Amino acid sequence: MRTNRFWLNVLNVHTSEWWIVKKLFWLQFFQGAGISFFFTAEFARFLERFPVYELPWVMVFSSVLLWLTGLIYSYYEHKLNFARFNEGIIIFMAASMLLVRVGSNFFTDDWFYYFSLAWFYVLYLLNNLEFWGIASRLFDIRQSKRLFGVISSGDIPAKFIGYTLALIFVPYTGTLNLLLLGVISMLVSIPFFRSISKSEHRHFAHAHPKQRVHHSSNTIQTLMQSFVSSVMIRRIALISMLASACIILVNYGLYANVKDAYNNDVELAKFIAMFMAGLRIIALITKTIFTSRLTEAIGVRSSLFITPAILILLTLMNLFANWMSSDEKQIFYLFGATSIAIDVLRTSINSPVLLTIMQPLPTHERLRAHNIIKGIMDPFATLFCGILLLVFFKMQQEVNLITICYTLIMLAVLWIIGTKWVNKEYLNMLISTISSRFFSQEEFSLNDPEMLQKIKDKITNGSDQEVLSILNMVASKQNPISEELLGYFLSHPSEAVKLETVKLIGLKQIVPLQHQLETLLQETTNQTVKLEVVNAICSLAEDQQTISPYLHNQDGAVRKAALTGMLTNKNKTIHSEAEKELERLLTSNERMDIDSGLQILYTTRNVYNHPAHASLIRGKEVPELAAVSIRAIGTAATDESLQALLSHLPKHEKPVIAALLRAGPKAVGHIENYIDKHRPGFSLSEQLVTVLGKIGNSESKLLLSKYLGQESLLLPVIIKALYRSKFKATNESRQIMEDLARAYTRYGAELLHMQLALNQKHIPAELLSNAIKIELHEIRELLLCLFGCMYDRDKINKVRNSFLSNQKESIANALELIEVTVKKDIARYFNILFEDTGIQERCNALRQLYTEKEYKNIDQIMGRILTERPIRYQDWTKACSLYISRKYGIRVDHLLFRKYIDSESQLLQETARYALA
Amino acid sequence: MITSTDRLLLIEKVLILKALSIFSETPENILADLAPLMQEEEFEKDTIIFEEGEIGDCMFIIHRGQVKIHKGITTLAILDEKEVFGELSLLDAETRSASATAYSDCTLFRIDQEPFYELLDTRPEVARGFIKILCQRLRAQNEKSILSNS
Repeated sequence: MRTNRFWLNVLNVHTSEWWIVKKLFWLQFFQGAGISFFFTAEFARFLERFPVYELPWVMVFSSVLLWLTGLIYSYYEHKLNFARFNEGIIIFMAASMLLVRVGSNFFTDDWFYYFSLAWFYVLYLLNNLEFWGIASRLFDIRQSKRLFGVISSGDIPAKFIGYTLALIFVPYTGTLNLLLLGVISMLVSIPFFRSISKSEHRHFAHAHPKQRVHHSSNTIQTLMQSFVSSVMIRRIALISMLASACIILVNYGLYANVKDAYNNDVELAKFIAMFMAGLRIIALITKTIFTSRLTEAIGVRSSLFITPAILILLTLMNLFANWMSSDEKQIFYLFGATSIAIDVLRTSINSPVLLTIMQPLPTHERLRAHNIIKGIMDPFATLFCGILLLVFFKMQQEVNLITICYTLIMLAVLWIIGTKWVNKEYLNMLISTISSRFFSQEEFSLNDPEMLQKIKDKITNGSDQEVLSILNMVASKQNPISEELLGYFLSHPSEAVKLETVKLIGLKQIVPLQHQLETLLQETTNQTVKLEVVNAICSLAEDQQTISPYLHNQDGAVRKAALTGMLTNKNKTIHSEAEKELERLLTSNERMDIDSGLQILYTTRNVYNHPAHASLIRGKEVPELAAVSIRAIGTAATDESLQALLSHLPKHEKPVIAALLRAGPKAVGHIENYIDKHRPGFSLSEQLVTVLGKIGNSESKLLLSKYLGQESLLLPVIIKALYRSKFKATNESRQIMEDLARAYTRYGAELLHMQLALNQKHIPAELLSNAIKIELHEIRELLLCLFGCMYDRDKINKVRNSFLSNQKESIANALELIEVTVKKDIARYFNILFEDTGIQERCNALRQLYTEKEYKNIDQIMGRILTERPIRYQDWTKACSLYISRKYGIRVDHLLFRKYIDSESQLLQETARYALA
Repeated sequence: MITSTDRLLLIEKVLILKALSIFSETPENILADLAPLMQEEEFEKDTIIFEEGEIGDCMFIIHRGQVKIHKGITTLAILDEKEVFGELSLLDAETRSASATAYSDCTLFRIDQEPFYELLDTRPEVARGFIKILCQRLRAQNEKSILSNS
């Protein structure tokens, strides 16, 4: 497969994901082919040996096997390691195929045939569970949404090719040897899995470390609870079961005919393979070409009726044909057509639409619904059909197609009723979901007239909170339906809803609603809404005429709102007129005009900034306006404004830092220049570096990683800022970070030795020991920040939370997690340093790391702290040393105190004066 | 009310805060940011510190002496040294649910809401410490209600 940008775009696969998608495709291709060989062989052998009325027993038997398999799979899935478990499954599938092949030479009794065919269902389930388990492990939730469609479509060609190959091979190999081809296919898939498994850690573990699916420890109980408590899940499960039952019965009717039409196993196998291959290719075409278009055109709810309606139609045709003629061939073809049509419709329309219907369910509920459908209802449908067919046979002593047809009609009618129930519940659930939480339009389509009507009703009658939630959903995508709905929000009685809608119309530039805005302006009495409407109208207006009455209005507030709107207008003439007027205001000699101009700048701070803003920030002309001007800094700030802003440092630290943060990425370069040029004090540098971390764009990360390589007292702040920015270590920075991690563990070891020396029962020692404990916590925090940047951030977060919980067992788990996540040598010392054991034991274990002289007296420790070795201690620790030297008369060189007299910290300054007094 | 001129060092204020049960779990380096907000105030016996129904905008720490918490003439509690009252007023300006009167001559530390809010702006660690305290209280309260229900 050639990596072609065009095809990647078509499939919506990113270049970096192509390798894994390719490998998954081949994995599924070989396994799908293997299973196709198995099914073809075993089904043909069974039908050749037994009458078709024996098939129901296989159904009953396989349903039990399926439940058991699902249960065992979910138990071991979370117990064993990913690679070992999945490779084990593949080998198990291959070995079981081989055993069936070998066993067929030895076991010629009937039971073996039943077992072998029932085993196909087990293999099918295992392959499904394994494949989707691997896929969900590899991709995060966003990738899943994009890629699962491509991967799931890949399953169809894989099966198609598998059945086609079976059709080609069977005349040469015979049916039984198809099983050997199945074994080979399964084994060939192993290298692909190994390659995925090896690359999985390297490529995906760091990029998407968090498994978003959290498994319940009590799966069956949780599934039952969901089934019992959720009406929607119950109804979806019911129609899914009815759909499966109909497919099984239609296929059974077809097989009954096939059995009569073909005499030997090779003929049967050829037919089955051809039928299945044909089915897959039609399903693929229908799915890729029609499904999305159809659901788009008629809506998801109506799409659900297609399959049962066509089933009824085709079954009636079967009955009619049977009544009109007794030509077996004709009935056979009709049943074949019905079987293909229903299977195709179910795969390509019913199942994907059911998935869409489940979207409004919370994620966990959705996963459970999936498990209920696949793991419980499908086997249940098999059991139900098996028993039903056995009962029919017992009553009629033959496979009666007429009875099957009537049963199908009955089931299809129930299916339609069930679909109606689902649709009803879907609407209620959707409306309540979009009224209560954020729900994007990406998650479902607004194309159902009934649903739209319900939404409109809710917009008109719902509470403010509900309507605002729906407004969020509508705002998530711009299309003609959204525009139409926005008009309804404007009629809601709440002023808050009106206000938010008007803001949205202005923001999204929805020109067609301009007329409705004008009507609202005439009707509303609320001044805030009125001004927002003026703002929006002037933002959308396409000519001066529309704007003029507002721009030249007697009311100053209206003029201001008009000007604000004009600044975001896309029409160049209108925009430049607004700029000129704003310049007039900002450079006016009238204080009121400047205030108005600044208020406009404040409102538009994230979309527009005027060059005249910079001189107001500098405060040369009107100094008292500088503070107000600083407030008007936002993401749209110009370079001049930001330079002017930084001229207020170090005096007006607080508002400047807040403004830099508001300016976001644009501020990064300016912060760098300021630090380089002015070399600010510790406190200001600390705040500037923290702002860089909070901005967290690629430039700020790059700058922070540059600082990381420089010797600086700010290292702890830089490390925390890097962590905050979600920095991922590059090869270059990883080396620096690992060295830093080693250095900090060494410092930690020294602090632990200090604690050991302070392990005495008198106040000064306790005070200092507590301070050093805080220092050790700080070192632990820094190390965790470094680990978070280098390794699996989410695991490190769990470690942090475990430490914070301060429970022995949680800390032990945290240390285990460190052991498997962090580089061996660093992890080992980290764990010794922070495990929950005695200080003496830990010091002994760290002897290799800390080889300096041991501390004997408190004055040695105080001296070390005040000389700020080996770390820049926190102000509290230094203040404690200063305080106890005087309070408890512990002699330390007074020269060490002097530098703290001029400290930026009030605590240190005051305590140093006290110590020297 | 007499405002004391004999100032304590900040570090000593931190140690006082640390000795209070509500701050016993808060690290001293965080309390060091809170300590500068403590204003020492002295109250003579029987002086009203605040009255029921007043809008509360500060909390008090008893450094020396005793304080009576009462509703009218009904005494609800007598608080001793190292106890705190009105602490929720640091976070929200609700009316006081009871009155507080100096039961003996006492020295209190007062922390006002406004500077506390400003501190939270610049030192999120202080907020984190406070949130932790509130969470602990909430959990304790929950456990208590579970116990009383069972």
